[in-house]
Amino acid sequence: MIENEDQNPDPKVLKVIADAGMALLASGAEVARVEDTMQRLATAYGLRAVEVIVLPTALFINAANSATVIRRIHGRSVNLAVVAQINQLSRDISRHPVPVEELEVRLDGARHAARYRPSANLLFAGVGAAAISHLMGGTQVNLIPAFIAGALTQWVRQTLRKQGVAGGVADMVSAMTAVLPALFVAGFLQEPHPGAVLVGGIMVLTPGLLITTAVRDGIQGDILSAAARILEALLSGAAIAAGASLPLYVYLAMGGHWV
Amino acid sequence: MILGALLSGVTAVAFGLLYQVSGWTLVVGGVVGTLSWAAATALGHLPGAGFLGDFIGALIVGGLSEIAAYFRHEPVLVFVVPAIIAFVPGDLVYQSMVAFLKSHFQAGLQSGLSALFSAGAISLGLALATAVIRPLIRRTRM
Repeated sequence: MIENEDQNPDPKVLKVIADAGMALLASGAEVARVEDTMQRLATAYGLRAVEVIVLPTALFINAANSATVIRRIHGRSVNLAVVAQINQLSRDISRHPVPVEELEVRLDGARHAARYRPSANLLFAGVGAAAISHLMGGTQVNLIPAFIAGALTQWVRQTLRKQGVAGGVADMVSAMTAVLPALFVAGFLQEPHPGAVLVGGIMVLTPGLLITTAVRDGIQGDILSAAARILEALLSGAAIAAGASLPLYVYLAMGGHWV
Repeated sequence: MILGALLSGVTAVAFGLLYQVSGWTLVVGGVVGTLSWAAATALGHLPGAGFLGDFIGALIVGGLSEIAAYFRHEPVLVFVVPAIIAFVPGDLVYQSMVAFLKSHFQAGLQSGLSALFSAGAISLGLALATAVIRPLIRRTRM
C-alpha cells in the first residue's frame, strides 16, 4: 500500500498496459504470457505491487493506490504477428523505457500487425490445404481441388469476419463451402479420394492454436483458461463437423458417388 | 516418408504464413514440422505403435519449439502452432463423420474415439515437452 505513495503514477499507464494485455489475449496468447508481459511493462514504468488477473474473456490490472482497469475481451482470433511484436515491445521497453505516449503509438502499430494482405492469405490457405490433402492420402489429381477448397474456405471465413460473424456460425458456414470442391471431385470428375480434398479444406479451420494454448495454460495452472479453451476447441470442431456434414448428407441422400 | 516429411514442412510454413508469421521464424517452424513428421512416421510403423507416432511427433514439436524460442527470443507459440497442424487428426474426424452419415454407427464411433485419443496423445506430447524440456532449458540459462 505504501510502495507507490511517493510517486503517483499516470493513470494512463495502467490503461495502456491493459490495452497491451487485451491485444495479446485477443490474438491467441497464453494466459501466463499475457500476465508476464503486463507485469513486465508495469515494472518498467515504476509501478510496484501490481496485481494482474487474466481470464479467457476479461482481464484486470490494479496498482496499489492507483486505479483498477478492467478490459472485456470479445472477439478472439489467431494473429501470431501481434503476439510476437508485443512480446518484442515489452522486452524493448523493460530495457529502454519510453514515454507512455510513445508506447501507446508503438502498441497501436503492433496491434494492427498483419504482414500479409488478405488475398495472400488465400494463397497460403490453398497451399496448406493441398499439402494436407497429399499427407492424408490424396493423389496429384486432388492437389488443385484441395488448393481451391483451402482458398475458398479462407475467403468465406475472412468475408464473414469482416461482416462481424465469428465463432461457431462462421466455422459452420466455412466448413459447408469447404466440402463443395470435394463434391465436385467425387461427383463430376469421378476421381478417388474426395475425402483428402475435404480434409484439406476443413483443416484451414482447425483450432490448432486453441489446443496448444489449452495445454500450455493447463501446465501453468491456469485451469479456468485451459478448460474454456478445450471447450471452445470442442465446440469449434463440432461446428466444423456439422457444417461439413450437411452438404455431404444431401449429396449422399441424392445417391451421389463417394469413395 | 521423405515426401511426407517435406509436405509436413510445407504445411507448417503455409499455416505459419496464414497466422502472420514471417522471416527466419517461418523457416525454423518448417524444419520443426519436417523433423517431427519424419520421426512420427518412423515410429508409427512399429508393430503395435498405436498413437505413439502422434505422441512422439508432438513431443518433438514441443521440444524443438522450446529450444528455438529460447535461442530466438520469440514466443513458443509461433513455432508450435504451425508445426502441430499436420498432426491434427482431421482425417479420423472426417472418417467418423462419413461413417455416421452412412449410418455405420460402429465404424463412426471407432473413428471418432480414435480421433479423440489421437488428440489426447498430441496434447500429452505437448504438455510433456513444456513441463520437462522448458525447465531444463531455463536452468542452463542461470
